[in-house]
Amino acid sequence: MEALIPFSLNALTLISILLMVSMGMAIIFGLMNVINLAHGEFITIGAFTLVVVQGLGGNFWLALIAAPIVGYIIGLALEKALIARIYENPLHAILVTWGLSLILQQVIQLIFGASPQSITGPFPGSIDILGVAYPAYRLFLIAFALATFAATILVFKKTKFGLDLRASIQSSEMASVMGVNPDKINARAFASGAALAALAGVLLAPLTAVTAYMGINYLARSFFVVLVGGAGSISGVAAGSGLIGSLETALSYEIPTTVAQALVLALAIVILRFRPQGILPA
Amino acid sequence: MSKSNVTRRQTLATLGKGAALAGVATLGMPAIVRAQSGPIKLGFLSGLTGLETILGETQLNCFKLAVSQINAASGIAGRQIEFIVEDDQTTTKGAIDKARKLINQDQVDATIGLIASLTHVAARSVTTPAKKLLMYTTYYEGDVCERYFFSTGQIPNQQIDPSVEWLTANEGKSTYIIGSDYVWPRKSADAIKAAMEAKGGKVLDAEFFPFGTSDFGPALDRVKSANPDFVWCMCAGNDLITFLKQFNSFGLGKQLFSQGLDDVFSQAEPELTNGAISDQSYFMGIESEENAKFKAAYRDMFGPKPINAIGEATYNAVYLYKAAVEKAGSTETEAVIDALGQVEFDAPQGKVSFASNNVARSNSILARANNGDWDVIKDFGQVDPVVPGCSL
Repeated sequence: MEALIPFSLNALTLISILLMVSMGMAIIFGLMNVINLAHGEFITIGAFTLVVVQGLGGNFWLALIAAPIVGYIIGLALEKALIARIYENPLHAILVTWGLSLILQQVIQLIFGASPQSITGPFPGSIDILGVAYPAYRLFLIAFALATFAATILVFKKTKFGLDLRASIQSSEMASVMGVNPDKINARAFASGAALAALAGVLLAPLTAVTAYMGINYLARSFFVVLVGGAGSISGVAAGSGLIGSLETALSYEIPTTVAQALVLALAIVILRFRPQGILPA
Repeated sequence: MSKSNVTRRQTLATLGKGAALAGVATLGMPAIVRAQSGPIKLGFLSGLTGLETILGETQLNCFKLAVSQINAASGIAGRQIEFIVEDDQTTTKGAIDKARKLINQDQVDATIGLIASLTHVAARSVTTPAKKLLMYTTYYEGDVCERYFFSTGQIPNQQIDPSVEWLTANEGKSTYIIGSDYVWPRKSADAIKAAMEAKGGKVLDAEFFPFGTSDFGPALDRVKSANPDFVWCMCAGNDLITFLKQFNSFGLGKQLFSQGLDDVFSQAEPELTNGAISDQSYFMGIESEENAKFKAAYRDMFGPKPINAIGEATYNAVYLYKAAVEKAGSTETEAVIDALGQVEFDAPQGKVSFASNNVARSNSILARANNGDWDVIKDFGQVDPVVPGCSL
């Protein structure tokens, strides 16, 4: 029993990490169908917002508020300048966002340098859970990720923005006949995806090295989570991260982690072969 | 008039022949003679992006510092050094492509640099068959015996063996290894196992993780259950920072040893590295006239940034190459290689030179991180490199 607690908490931590980095991807790729190879850089932007905020004397919590705002503004500007022109052609999207990711990486490195940035996370200690000490920050991460996920679901299911977005994805023409401005909706959706990725960046920063290239580590995995979970549905992200996160953690207790990660990816391919629409499609 | 009747056509023809002759004369010279007069070309190849970004910048700076000092002091045997910087992105493909470019397209006289061992394996697969000199400047797993490959960083008998000797006597007999999943941690783990067993110690387990691992939670959970006397970490580059953050948050209360830690890491993350032990051939705290001059010159050129053993070994490599070319009186690879074994350099860490296995004799200094600096625990002095069965 005692061994089960750290195991479940470790699985929940990985699931939360995957959930956080994939939610933005679920909107931009899953809903809007834009293959965004710069997704990782939005995560990086979030982490570097924390670096800047702490550099100016602010704390982690201020950054947690500032990062999604910064992500939203940058996302909005990029959508207007670049992404809005390439919705028609997915191949263009791949090239444009790939170029964008390289530019963002280099700009961040030019400004901040190559070395990992030092940041201070909250909750440095551990908390006793049924006699097992577990890092407090990881517990916070799990709770925060679940709360963010619930809030995102609410926004998509219950607000006018969510309704308009779902409508314009189903039929852009019909939605615009009904008075929905698709350009505006697209811009806001893309910016929200970027904001969620930036939020993930702040949350990841206390766990990982903060460098201009940190986002690359999460790009492929967030694509996988969204595809396995089911592109086109936000709840699919929970299914995708739940499956990949728990399997990877469980397997890593039995076999070498490198093999475990490869096996999970192989399994994801098998799932997609038999359920191409993912576990929880729209 | 008619006697000196030189027509314009004739003049042009004569001039043309002369130019052609001059051209033939130049081209007809053996390539080697031609190459002996112009600038010397060095290739710098390393991980400037990707996993080893944290270390690549310092390494490149030290390379540039050595080159600019040598050029300011009238170059190598009067010839200036030109250099080409290439980024291997800490990948095997990058290292192979860029090594080929440096050798075939840029035709460099020697290549210096590299960090992660997977890149020295990749680069050697190009430079050794082409019979071109490659100088590797990072501590590594050793176990290479090739005429065209020289290294100025520590190998296991200079780094792991002395560390194990001290750790087993002072920290305990059991350790748990966590490393990145590639050749350096895997081969070094074998060296650690052998060294631990020789001292009556034991490696409880060794686990290896892919690059960019985001969660070490499960591994740290297993470390806790195994309860080793100390934890041995060989995560590379940025992943080492990720590991440190998570190791500290789990608060296992275990002594951490990592021979990957140096001044660059400790100054970037003083709190995370505090109390950790490492063994390097160079720490900034070394007190010597050479080191003081080295640090001052570095600061003048790049500002108050940390220098590590990889950087210092790169600086040494350029100077050792200079000494060898001057001794050989040529940049011809075979002659330079023969000379490399006979030269020495007054390095910031002390006098360095190559042993017969092409590995540099270097320091072995065991130290503990203390708020960004390193307190020497034990200085083993200069250790001769041992590569079993290798004499070149």
